[in-house]
Amino acid sequence: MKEKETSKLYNSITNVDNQFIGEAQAINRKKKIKKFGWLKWGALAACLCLIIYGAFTIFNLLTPTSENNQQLDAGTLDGDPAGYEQTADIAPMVCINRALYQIAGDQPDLVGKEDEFSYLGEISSKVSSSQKPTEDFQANDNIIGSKVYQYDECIVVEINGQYWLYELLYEYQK
Amino acid sequence: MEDLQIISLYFKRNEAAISETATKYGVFCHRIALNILSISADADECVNDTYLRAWNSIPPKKPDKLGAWLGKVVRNIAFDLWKKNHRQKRYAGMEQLLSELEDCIPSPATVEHQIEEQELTEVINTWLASLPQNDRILFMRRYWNGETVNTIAQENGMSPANMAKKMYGLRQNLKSKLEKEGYSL
Repeated sequence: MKEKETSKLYNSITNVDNQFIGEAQAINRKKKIKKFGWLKWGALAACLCLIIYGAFTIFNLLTPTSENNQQLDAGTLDGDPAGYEQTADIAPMVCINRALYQIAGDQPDLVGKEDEFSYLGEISSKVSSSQKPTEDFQANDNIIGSKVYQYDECIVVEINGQYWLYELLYEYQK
Repeated sequence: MEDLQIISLYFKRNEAAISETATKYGVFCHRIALNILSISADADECVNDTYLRAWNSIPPKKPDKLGAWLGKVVRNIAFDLWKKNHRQKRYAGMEQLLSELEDCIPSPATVEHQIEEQELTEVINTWLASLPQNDRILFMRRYWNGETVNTIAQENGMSPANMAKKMYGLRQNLKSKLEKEGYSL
């Protein structure tokens, strides 16, 4: 008898108004959306990480490296005067005879003018690309060994067989 | 696909109606059946029987809400299967004997029986409408969807013991309503 009555109750609950059934179904739908919403944001975050990692890797691959695979300081000349890209915090500079010279914005063609150069010495030390050189024959690029010439009031530095003009910025107190 | 389009496929006797029903409501029906029967193969059987019943009933039936209608069908089929399996487990007893003899009795779904159930449904509808929405959803999830107390508790940030107490309170509330209406279950 009890079973019969329970069956009756079960069947009556089965046939309740559709709006109550829809209400409970809507909760399950929201639950599902919420679950997938979390997944969606998780996937988005993972994609972002991947993109950042990819960009970082590509950047590293495209950045020039020295022979021993050490990454060069930003601002190193790559041998193409017109394509020189300054990515250092400050412009490439050299300190020669207690004066600071900065690379010229417009690079003249100096080939054939070697007679007007007077050899001064070689770059012998460097500071980081965000610092100004303060000692003689010091640069803020990795150009140690490059020959330095006086050319009028400017300085010419020979890097990988190419001449680069540096203009006087100011003189340190002697 | 919209419900109306699926129903129109049934009316055209296009078998795609069943595959579209399965795509849209297969998981929903399976979950209800599984909550009642706890065995995936039995739940599959129920869901397939539900599709067959839909195919045989529509037309002439044209459900207002296909999902709710399918849910009711799958609940009925699952309950029948549960009763059948329940009896078979007690194979040698009087239960089985009575079960077999029950076949000799004309369908229990007499008009009187149906009217009684409809009246009871109306009382339950009134009771459900009087409940706060959260309580109503909890009751429906447990006693219509057949979701477990643990699942509902977890999703509502409650302990299973507290949710069980909540369910007990709701059942007592329903009992009191039914008693007021003259039912003694």
